[in-house]
Amino acid sequence: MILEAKGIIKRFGGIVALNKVDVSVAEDEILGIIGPNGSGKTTFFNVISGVYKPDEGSVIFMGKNITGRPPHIIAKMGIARTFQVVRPFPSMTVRENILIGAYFSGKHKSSSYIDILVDKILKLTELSSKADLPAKALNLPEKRRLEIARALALEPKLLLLDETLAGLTPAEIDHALEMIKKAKSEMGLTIIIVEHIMRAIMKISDRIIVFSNGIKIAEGTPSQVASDIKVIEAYLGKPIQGEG
Amino acid sequence: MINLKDLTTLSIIGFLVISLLILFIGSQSLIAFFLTLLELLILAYSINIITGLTGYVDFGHAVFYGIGAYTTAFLIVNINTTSVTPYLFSLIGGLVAAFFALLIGAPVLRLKGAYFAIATLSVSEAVKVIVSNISALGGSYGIPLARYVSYDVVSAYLAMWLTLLFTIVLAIWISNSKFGYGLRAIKEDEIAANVMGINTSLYKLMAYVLSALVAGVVGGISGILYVYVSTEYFKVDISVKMLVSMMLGGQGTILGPLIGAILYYVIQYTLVTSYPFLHLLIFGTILIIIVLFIPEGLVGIIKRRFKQLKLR
Amino acid sequence: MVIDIVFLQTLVNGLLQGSIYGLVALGLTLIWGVMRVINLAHGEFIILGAYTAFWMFTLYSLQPLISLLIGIPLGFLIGIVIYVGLVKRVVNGPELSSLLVFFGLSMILQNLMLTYWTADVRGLPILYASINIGSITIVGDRLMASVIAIILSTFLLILLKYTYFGRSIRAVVQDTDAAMLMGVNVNYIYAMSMSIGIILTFLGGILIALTTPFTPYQGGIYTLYSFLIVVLGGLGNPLGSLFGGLLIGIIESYTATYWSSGISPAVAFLLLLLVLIIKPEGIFSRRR
Repeated sequence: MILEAKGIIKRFGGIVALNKVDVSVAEDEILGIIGPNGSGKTTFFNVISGVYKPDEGSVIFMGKNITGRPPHIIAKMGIARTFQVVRPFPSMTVRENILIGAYFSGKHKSSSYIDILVDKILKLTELSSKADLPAKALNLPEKRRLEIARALALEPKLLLLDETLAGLTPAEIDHALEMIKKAKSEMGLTIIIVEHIMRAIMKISDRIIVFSNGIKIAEGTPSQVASDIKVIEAYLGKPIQGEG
Repeated sequence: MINLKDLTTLSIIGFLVISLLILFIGSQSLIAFFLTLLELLILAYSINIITGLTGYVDFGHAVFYGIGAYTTAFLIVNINTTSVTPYLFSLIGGLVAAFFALLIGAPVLRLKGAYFAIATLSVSEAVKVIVSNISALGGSYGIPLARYVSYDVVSAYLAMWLTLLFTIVLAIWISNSKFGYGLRAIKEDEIAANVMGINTSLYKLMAYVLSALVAGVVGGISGILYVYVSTEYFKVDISVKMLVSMMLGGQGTILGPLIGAILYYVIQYTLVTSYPFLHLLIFGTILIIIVLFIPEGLVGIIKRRFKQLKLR
Repeated sequence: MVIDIVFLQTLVNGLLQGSIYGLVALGLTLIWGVMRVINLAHGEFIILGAYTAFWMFTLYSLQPLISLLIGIPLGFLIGIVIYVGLVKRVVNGPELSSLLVFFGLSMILQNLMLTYWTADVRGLPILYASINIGSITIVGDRLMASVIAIILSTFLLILLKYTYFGRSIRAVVQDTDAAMLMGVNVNYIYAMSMSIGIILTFLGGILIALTTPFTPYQGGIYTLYSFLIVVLGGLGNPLGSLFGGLLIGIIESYTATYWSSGISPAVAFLLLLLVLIIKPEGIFSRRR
């Protein structure tokens, strides 16, 4: 298990966003997390990446306890994430954006290594032609790729993708999924992906976890989860009397 | 085809050389003119580190200037040395200012945007009032230094010039370093920067402390130059002057503080001689114009011109 | 026995002054809370109001209470002009831009006042007789000003709580986008809030002229006090501003009596710092 989150509880005022959540991630797998809006998916990411400190519970990453540690330390330890609403560094060029991750990954690498790494990532995310443009000049799919590129520059062991596919056309989605798989194999990543787009996450995940109202209501292979009645109810509400 | 980097290098070297020459061949009034300009330049570069690069708008930066001045004056009065140049004390003034930044930096830098500005203004004003109530520091009259130091324009000029040289070298070093990169990322998006491995709390604090160090040293030199230190050194006018100069030239750049301070100083100098009581009005108007119409300052305009020329 | 009287007198003075501070802070919290615009020229508007009262009295022998009536349309006009000229440009940007722009405005206003009206200390003569309750003296002018401040504040609170207009304002404070979706004309609310805010500030200035002497240099300290009150009471929280005003009035009064009046600003600044760092959403606020 590369990541083990046990008994995570996170409260905001009176709301319990995560209620005794247990999630384990095996090395090299792609774990998908789905659930209705407000079910706690992004909160979970924020807890893992250190943006939030959980009120209770622990997060163990590669044998080390990372619970409540600051984001930059967790990044250096090997967890990288993207944001649901993209947050590139707008005035910096695409290349500079990616360089940030490379510089601050905590691994001491020579500048030639970094140059090679950045070029490899640019190629992987198909941003080589836009390398010297400011990030704010990119369109949405390109910005999404930049989010991923930036995260890859940290050379992480675990990549958290937060609704990276929202707003993309079906063709762009397939393209993005291919890119993610390629990045995974070329850089040796374990991935947790949060998504709303069902067919995408069913297609790419090895295993899926379903959140609803801050708790895990189902876990299993994509086909197992798809036929799980609780999952259907969570998304569609209880069936109308006399049907289903 | 000249580019921005070359222009920057040329301007800086050019200015440093010219300003040094002025000391040897300039008239009294020209030297005095440049002396005040040098002081403003150093302050503009100082605030550029925390505000221009890191994006935390410091509305009370004069507090470090004043602390540097008061520390230096206090040392001069209480430590009787004729063998050591008093300018050494201004270095200590800088260190004390830096230490103060270290103390208040941690809590204050947790505030964002406008709240940080208000907080730094509050610190500056509070210190001003507190100092004017401490008799050991001269109370509301300040500390006169005429008995200990003589008015010496030449050594003050050299001290200022050397400080400016050091400050510019510091600015260039930061700009090209990993540290500078991190600061820029913090300015663009602090949370994203944090998640990308940058220790934002530490970097912000370091930027604050460095900027305080520079402001403190120049405060000390000014104290010696003017042979008098008072709570006037804490006035918000000074904070605003350096802020506006830097913003006018272009935040976060190396050329920005240079051209911004020069332009600002020239405007102030000419207008204040014609309309002596309107300098606040001038500050205010320039500030509004910058914020509303040219937020990236003159360097931003220059960059756009270069892009246009390149496309042709 | 003697100490008790000083204690009580200080309290009374503090409450009287504090009610005016509260009124004036109401203006600021409205503008800041509704539009997220930081009016650093707040103090200068107060001083402008004070000058209005002064000139109306000195030139036309108009009582300050009459000046209040003039202050309403005047304040309204100034509010609209500032809104259209300045606020509209910065209202959708970062709070910081508005802070800088209004700081620039404060410098411009201060300089203009200094140029045309000089730095001479101005004030109004004593207009109302004092009342004595036991050994406590209640200064007539301060009492009158305080009563009016409370009336105006109450009026505003009623307006905010019970009218559609008031509810629209509160909706915009809580969630501008939702308010828009509910049919609130946000532009109109912004303009009105700015005007009402300036009116309150202006009227507060007139009341201050009644109680204290003033110069163009004092804008800053009133801005600071108002900021402190607004931050203490919670942004956009009118009741909080009133309580905050009373609290600050009392603190200032006790600081002046038992320590020194010169140190009051420092106490205020340090308090502001403390609140910003510890609980920026305000001591009286229930919101996060």
